[in-house]
Amino acid sequence: MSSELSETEKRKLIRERRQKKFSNGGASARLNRITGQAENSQLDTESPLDSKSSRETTPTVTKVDSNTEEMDELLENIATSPSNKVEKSQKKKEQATSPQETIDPELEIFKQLAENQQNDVSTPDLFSMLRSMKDNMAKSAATDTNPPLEPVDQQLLDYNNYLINNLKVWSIIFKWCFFLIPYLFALTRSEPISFLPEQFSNPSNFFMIFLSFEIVATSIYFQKLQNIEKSNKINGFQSNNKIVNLVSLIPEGVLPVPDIKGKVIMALQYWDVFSMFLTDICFVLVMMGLFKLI
Amino acid sequence: MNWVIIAALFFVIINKLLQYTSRYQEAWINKFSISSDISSLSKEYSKLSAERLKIKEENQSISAQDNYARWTKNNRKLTKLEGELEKLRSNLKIAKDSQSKLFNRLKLLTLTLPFMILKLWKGKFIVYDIPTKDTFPVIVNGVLSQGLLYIPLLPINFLRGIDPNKHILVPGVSLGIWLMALTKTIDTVEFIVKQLVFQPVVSKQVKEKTKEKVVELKTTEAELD
Repeated sequence: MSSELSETEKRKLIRERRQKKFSNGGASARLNRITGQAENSQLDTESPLDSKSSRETTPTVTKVDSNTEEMDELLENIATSPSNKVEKSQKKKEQATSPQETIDPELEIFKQLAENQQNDVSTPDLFSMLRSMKDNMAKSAATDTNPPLEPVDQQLLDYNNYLINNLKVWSIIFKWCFFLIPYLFALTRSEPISFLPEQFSNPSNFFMIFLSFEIVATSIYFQKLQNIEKSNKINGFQSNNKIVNLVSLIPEGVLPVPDIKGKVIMALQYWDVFSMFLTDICFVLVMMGLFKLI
Repeated sequence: MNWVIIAALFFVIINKLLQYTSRYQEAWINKFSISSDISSLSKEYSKLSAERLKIKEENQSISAQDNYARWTKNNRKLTKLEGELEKLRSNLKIAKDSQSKLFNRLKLLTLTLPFMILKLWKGKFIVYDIPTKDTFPVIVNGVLSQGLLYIPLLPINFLRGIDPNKHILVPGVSLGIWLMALTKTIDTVEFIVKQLVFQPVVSKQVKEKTKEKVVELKTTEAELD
């Protein structure tokens, strides 16, 4: 309280000093210089300090003083915490009602209005409600078992997807050109090719050989895929998949299965690998028909 | 080659062509528009919009204060033109919508429905025979020759004591499965071409993680004096 008093006293002192300085005119010219007004401007730039000096003869409290007092009150209101506010305003009210003080009636009305607004707590404002909601959400997110992932850089994600697609393309090309096409060609010939071992040209062994090759190729592909994702520190499914995004909307605890998102991601990864196998079977069917036709 | 295979191939190729040219289809439809509505409407629209542009340019070149009468006259004309243009635009949109609807219906009648009928009618038609009976496992053989419905029917057939493969004398690939495999293969080839030819090379850009500093705005006490 004492510091605030000293504040007001300081302000009062400065005000008095300024008034003394401009008591012999020149305030309007200074204001003009500050605002950059032309000499013959239509706008009124007469300083209240000058007007005061011209009207100094009036004994009552001048308008300037009341204005600055108002400002002081406002500043005090800002400086003090809301808990003290009511107390203060009540004090002010007492002051205002005391007969010694002569204060504008208009000012009184405004003050009362402001007080009413302050005391009105029956309707909490929208912002405070939203803030509390946000706080609650943040709290619940913090207590979640798996903390939210930090947003992934879009450029890095694009690069990651590009690498994965490239890997997929080259593994498909390799599998088709260097294994499936020659093997299927050898398989569909009516007379066995001489330099190949008998097992390779026997159609009865086809599915076994095909399956073994697929298992080896797919495990190499999967290993490389994991390497790419590890080096970029990105899980492609985690960051850009509609199903995963949809699943992550389900709050934890609604379903009896824990960590549903991780399981969905794993299922999608296995599906991705399995679909590669399906693609190869489809290619085998098409090529077999084509080679039979030739 | 059997006519069934030829018809199926024809449908697949036409569908793929339509898919590849989907970007230009609207322009084609508008060019060979059946109704004369669209061409006349679009002609009028372009004429009016050219006129509007001319008046606007003129208005910008003259001073509103000096040639007030002319300027206001132009302005009035502009508002009138704008209203007409808006009306024309909505009419054109309606005409285009109805035309694309017509085109879609035509596509459904001539392509999608016949293809579906062919697939349902000749779904179990054997496109080619598999070299030997033991090339694929029994279940795969069944799926290839009977279609995907073979798998859900398998336990029922076992319960009823019917050998699910009794119809299969020589295993072969049925039309339904063959078409599925063909579409999948074409899609994969498409993916490969797209990735190797049309996809621009993405290079890695090492980015330093910019630490976001939370700047707290401290409200300083307003010094009014």
